[in-house]
Amino acid sequence: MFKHIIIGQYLPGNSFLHRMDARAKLIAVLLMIMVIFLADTWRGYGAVTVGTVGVWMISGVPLRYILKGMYPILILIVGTFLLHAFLTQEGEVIATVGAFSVYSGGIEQGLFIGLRLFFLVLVTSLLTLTTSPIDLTDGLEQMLQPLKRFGVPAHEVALMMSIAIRFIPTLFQEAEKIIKAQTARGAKFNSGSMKQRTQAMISLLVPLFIRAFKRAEDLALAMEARGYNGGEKRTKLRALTWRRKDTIACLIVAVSAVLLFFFQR
Amino acid sequence: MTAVSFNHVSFRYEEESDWVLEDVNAEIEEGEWVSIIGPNGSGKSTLSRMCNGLLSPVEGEVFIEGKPVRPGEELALLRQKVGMVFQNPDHQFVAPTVKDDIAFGMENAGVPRNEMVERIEKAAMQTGIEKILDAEPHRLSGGQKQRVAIAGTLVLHPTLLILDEATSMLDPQGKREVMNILKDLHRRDRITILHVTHDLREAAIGTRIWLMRFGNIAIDLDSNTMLDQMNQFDTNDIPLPYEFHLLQELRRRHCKEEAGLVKRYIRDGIAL
Repeated sequence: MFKHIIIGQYLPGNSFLHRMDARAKLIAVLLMIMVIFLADTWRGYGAVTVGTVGVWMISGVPLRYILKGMYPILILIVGTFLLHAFLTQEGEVIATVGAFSVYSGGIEQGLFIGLRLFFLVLVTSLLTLTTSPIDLTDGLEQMLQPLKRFGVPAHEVALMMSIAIRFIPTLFQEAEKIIKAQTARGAKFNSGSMKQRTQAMISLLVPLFIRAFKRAEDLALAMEARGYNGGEKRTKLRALTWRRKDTIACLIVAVSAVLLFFFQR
Repeated sequence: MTAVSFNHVSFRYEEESDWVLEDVNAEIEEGEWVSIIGPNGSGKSTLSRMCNGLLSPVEGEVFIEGKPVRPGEELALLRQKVGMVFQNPDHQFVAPTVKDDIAFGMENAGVPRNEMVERIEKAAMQTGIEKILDAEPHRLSGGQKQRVAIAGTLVLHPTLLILDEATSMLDPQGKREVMNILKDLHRRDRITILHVTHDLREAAIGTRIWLMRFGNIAIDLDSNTMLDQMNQFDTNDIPLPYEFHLLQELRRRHCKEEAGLVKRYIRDGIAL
């Protein structure tokens, strides 16, 4: 059932985005998120559209993957659009539905916010689609490194994330086994009333958690046996290499951000 | 030189509770392959965990290559010298890929990056996992995972390798893979091996065998003598595998030549 699970939504490939340094991508995405929040005119949104669609084009990610990622937040986008459309009272009245009046300003505002959400999800999924989770944690760890002196546990956070990533498929495999075992004992996961299904879920979750704790204990022991003693004096096998094209890519994003700020007025 | 020496070692998990180990005295010479068998709760794993300081004796002391095992800074160095592989293949795989997992111990030890790459290649050759270096753990078989775990210890150039029931969760194929690697490491790389197991077949491959009962080493035999004194295991609730019975029977009937064949068969681990 869980055999073909892909962790995160990483889509292996060899595009320019795939080959970029994870840190560069993180910085670029942060900048783009800022830009998306700054845009508040049609001209601004037009520029954002050109920019993000351009980034998508060089990512080589098929459209259906993007749409699949959009699906869960569709309701959110439509919902916020409707909220703004009905509750903002600016501009002229376009239509009246019962006690509510729809203003032109509301429609505009709703479209803006909807687009904003859309682009935010687009940009962040492009990051996770083109960066393997391991590279992402490595990038995060190195970017958090300077914050260490303010007590941010960069290494620990990164290790936690990478262990979590490593164990997701294992936990799925285990869940599959437990489901089979409990089904053999009469639990109903796919049929029965809501109450029965909830009870069946409990019979899955309790053993899953107990096993996870046992596993964590064993893992800690194994790590200790291999000389783990925190982040001090540690070296790393994985090296991120920041090339010139990473600098250039970040600069392009930064310059476009500044330009957009003036252009949209 | 003496690789491991247990000096009046006693241990219990809590005060008031029963002793898990009681006044154990034993030595393992360099280059030996000691198999520890015994019922659950006889102290096999506890004893093995004394060798790298995962547990410390309540009384007595453990020496590795003449140096006492004590908590503190030196434990990290000791753990490079004493590699340990545990029972559950899934519970000791730390990193998201094979390569990263093999590197984990070296990263802890602060080995420079280019040296890591070299050492990983060598250890992968020794354990036959060159082709799966980029694989994720959930796509590996149990035997492959245990080989990765062994490789993860080999990169730290250990002189002593401890296997704490490392084969007990593997299928016959996986067991064979792991045991063959151990044979190579013992013969070619002269690594001292301490193998905790329930399987007399596996135990017969080593050079020495300890039977633990009630927190002590009840029987200490070299593996050749062991095959002459099998009754001792039978009377201690360790069931003899089929070919051991066969050897006994052949000896009883004075079939020397056949007995010799069976003995080789057992010692080489062909039955595994």
